Amino acid sequence: MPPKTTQASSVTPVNAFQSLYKAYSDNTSDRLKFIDAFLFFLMLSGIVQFAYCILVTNFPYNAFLAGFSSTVGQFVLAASLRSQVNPENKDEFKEVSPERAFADFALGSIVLHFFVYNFLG
Amino acid sequence: MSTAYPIPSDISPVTVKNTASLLRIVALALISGAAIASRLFAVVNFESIIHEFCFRSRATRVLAAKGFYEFWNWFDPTAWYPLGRVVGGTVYPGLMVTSGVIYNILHALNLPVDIRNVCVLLAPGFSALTAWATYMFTKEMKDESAGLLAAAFIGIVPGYISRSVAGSYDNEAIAIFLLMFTFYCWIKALKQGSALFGTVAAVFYFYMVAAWGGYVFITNMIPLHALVLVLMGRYSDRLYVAYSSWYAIGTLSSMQVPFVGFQPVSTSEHMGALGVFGLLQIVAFGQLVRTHVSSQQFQKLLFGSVVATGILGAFAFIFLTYKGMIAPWTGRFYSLWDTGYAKKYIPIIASVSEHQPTAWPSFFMDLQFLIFLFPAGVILCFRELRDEHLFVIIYAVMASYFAGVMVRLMLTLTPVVCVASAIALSTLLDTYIDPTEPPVPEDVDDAASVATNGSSAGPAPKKGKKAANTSAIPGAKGVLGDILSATTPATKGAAAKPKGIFGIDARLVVILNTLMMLFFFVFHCTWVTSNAYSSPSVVLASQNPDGSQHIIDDFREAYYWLRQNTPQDAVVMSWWDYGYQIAGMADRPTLVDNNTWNNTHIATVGKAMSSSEEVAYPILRKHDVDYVLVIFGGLIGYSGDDINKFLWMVRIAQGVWPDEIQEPNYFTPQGEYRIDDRASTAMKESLMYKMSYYRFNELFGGNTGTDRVRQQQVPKVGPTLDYLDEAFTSENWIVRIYQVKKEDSLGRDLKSANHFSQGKKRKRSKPAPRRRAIV
Amino acid sequence: MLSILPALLLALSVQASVLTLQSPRLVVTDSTGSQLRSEPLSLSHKVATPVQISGKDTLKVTFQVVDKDGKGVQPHQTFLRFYDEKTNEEGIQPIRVTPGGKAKFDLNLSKPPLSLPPTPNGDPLKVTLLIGSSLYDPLSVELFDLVLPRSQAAPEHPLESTFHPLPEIKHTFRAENKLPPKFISAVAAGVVLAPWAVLLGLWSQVAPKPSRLFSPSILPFILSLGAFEALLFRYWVGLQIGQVLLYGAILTVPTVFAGKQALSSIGNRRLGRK
Repeated sequence: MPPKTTQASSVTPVNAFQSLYKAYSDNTSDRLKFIDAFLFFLMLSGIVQFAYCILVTNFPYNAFLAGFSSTVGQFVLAASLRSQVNPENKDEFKEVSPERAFADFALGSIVLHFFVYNFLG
Repeated sequence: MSTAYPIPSDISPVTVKNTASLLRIVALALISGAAIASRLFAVVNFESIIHEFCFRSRATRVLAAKGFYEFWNWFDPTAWYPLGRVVGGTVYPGLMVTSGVIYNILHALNLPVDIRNVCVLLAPGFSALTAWATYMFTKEMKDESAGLLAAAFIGIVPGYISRSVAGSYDNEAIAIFLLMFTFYCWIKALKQGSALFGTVAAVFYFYMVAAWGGYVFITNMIPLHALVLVLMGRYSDRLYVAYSSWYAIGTLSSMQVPFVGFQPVSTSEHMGALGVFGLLQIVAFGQLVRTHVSSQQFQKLLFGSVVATGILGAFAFIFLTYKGMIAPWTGRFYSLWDTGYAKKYIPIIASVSEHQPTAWPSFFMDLQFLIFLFPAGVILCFRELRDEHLFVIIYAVMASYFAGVMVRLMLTLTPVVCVASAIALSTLLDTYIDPTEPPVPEDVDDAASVATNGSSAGPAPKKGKKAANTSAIPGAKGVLGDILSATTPATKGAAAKPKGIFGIDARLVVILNTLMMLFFFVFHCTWVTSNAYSSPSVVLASQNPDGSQHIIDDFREAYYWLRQNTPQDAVVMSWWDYGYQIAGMADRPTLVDNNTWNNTHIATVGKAMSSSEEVAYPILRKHDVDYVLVIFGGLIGYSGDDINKFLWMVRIAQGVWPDEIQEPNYFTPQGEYRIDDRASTAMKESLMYKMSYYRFNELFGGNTGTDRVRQQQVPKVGPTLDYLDEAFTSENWIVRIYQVKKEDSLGRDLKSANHFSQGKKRKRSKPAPRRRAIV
Repeated sequence: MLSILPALLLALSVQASVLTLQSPRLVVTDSTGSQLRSEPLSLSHKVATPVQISGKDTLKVTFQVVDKDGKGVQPHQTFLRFYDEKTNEEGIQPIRVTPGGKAKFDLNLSKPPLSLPPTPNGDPLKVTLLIGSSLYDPLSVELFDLVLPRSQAAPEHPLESTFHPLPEIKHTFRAENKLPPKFISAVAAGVVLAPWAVLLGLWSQVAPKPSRLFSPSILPFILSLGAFEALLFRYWVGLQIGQVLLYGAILTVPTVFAGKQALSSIGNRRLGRK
């Protein structure tokens, strides 16, 4: 997919973000948006947990770490899945078909969840 | 197509392929067999015992007998008497769990194997797996043939055998396999951009964390590789996938090991990995944004934000370190950069011979001709410089440095040396075995090629003439052209001529030379293995004058004596080197052992050993010590004895009690370390000296004895002991055990009690009046 | 000589193996030798007024040990015991007795014997005579109270410190972690759960239709993945690690097959569609 060029004339940050958002919503398939929504959710969730740890207490530190790293881990796994199924990256992942990518994702998630539950205490 | 030697042409490619893979399997099986067999010298020469009969085997017994959860909560009250030791939280459990699992599987299969044999044969078994992992790793670097060579090298190279002979039940036994396999998975994940291999790498990384403290090496190698790739502009989504999946799962899993705990998020050693992880996230996000927006200024904005984030992150890291949120680098780490650091600040680390800088001969001893091929292999990696080659280069540089700093880290250098040398050697062999003749222009006369071909020019012209076709040398060879031009005389004279090797004789000269080197390598490895690395540390071997082997088994004799003749709860004090052995073989509580977690406790033992009897006695009594064990090699010339380690005891004790113990006091005024008449008073008064040389002169029938380690005459009048009784001395005097006397039942101090019982007249002293008038 | 009578009476009144003293007497002289005090001692009661000596005075105690027949006896052991009841200090002074039973004890305050206990408070010392012999009954007679000038307090014995109970070992534990108030916890839990709403909201907009999710080729895969998650949840609730690994390994086999089938069917669909 060729990157969509935006108007380079008036570049203020607000404008840039708007154009970015527009380009994103135009150019991204629903499938990827689905994953992106999940990513966004994980990011929010991680941020909230981190803020809780900083602001309130980090008492069950292992539980915090387990929760936080589950969001981070899930995030990177989902991001990997996203970049692997992204048709733009087809050349880079010659050996990884989208199905294989999902299998990888499932395996990675199970391993991750195993450690998360183990760490949760 | 002309060939240097006839090759059959009527074989289908499928057959060739199948035969090649069959040969590869056979070769790998043979390599595994050789790797296992060459490690069995110890069992053949001695017997099936665990060399460092140590804590780990005891822990494994507990694990096998009581199960995993019991082991996890095991509190060992006999170690570090009277403190005790929480075992579950202070060990890397990987090794014990591995052998426990193998033991249970074998028993589930109705193979009643003793746990000891599992422990003894674990290291050879894993060395076969290491060979396989190295094969896979090198295959990713070059091809299968290089992989086979690397597997063969790692299978028999002494640098690795030194830590994995049968019976050396040590963490390193399985760690090298895990190291190589983790690296292999990482390379594979990077190449494919596969989260699967990233996850597998993370799982093996977890295994490695559970098995060896050297996991920090992986923790820093992989991020370093990723960082170099990013800095070289080689960022790709594959890198993101591989690194992120490895780091996210690997870090979380490494925190499951109780001994590691929260370190991955709180110590400096692990921060690099975290930083690279964050950097990759930012870069990935930037890439994503760039696919959607390509405004010039926007990119600048992005670049600026990336730089700002990096700087902010660095400042945050420094701030957190300063505030103590992130633990600073540990002492062991500093000692990697400044070799003098440990001696100054943490003598307990420097006192271990494994932590000394490596001596030059040991490189040759451990690696033989691989050490010469190693740079060639690294340079060959530069030729192609794919992502994975970069990994080998970084690995080579880092490991070379570390191996030079610490003997122990020779072990991490060995795999990369094997891989790089295998690449070099296999390139060489590829070039010379390849039957394709280089194209020769028509006008070149045969004489030139004969002249350049060297002395035996027999079949060369014939072949040279046949070289009439125009097929170019295969691409891989073309890349190597430069090197070949430098190394091969065949092309020297002909600058304009095509490069390559002509004739079979030139090939044979090189190949035979290579084969000879390989044979020498095998001989060297076998010799080193059988002579240097296969003796258990508790059993010494020496040669009788007639050449037969003489086994010196003092250690086990003494430990068995302890086991049989002392009460179960008798506390034995010795220097920490022997703690595990005493606990394992004699089954008695010890004060300190090889798990050197408590410096003060060790310093207490050092103080007791280096003070006079009167000072040491209260220390001994306060720690309920019943027996003191010293190792003395002066009679038969065993140089690893306690007198030679004595200065370290002094130094460690000095670190805690600088007022009471001073190292210079133990030297003669000339600054010599002597044990003869000129030894300093502090030296002669010290408990260690007295225990070592007590009654030593009696062996020589009135003449003065000679210490065969120090090559010095001991004083004519030997030391006397008032507070200790000699309880046991082994056959060759290597182990001497003393019993600590109880307080005198009449309330005298033991010195005067001893004088009394020897019939010496006590000096009459007037007791002080109790009543003093007010002046 | 008045005291001889009661002493004799005493000696007569007890049985034969009893020792007694003949003419016990104390004399206090000052440094010049002039007698300050001199009186006989009694075995039955101690001297009424405490004997006070000071400066360079000398205390002299004389007696003769005799058996019931009045014959001088040399006992095996003869001691004078000085005992301070308040401070519990005591001193034992052996006394040399001649074979004839005669004994003499001098206490010169300018050269006090080693055994004399310190008297920091000037309290009287009880002076007791102890006589022991294998042939006779032992004798312990309180003679008189002795008041000495104040001296310095008793020096502490070098081993004194070891004869006290050790201080009780107090373990310091890490401070108990504090849980935040219920209210804050509840709010935080709500906030942490809030992103789910965002997720569901976003998904409702962009979710592709799960058209083939329940097709027979894919459903087993989804179910086995769900089973894995359930197993891991059970691990958290109360399974042991060995069991989890065992069940997980068992569960892997159908999952791999189901996954292979499901994904290949999807793959075929995708490739076929293209």
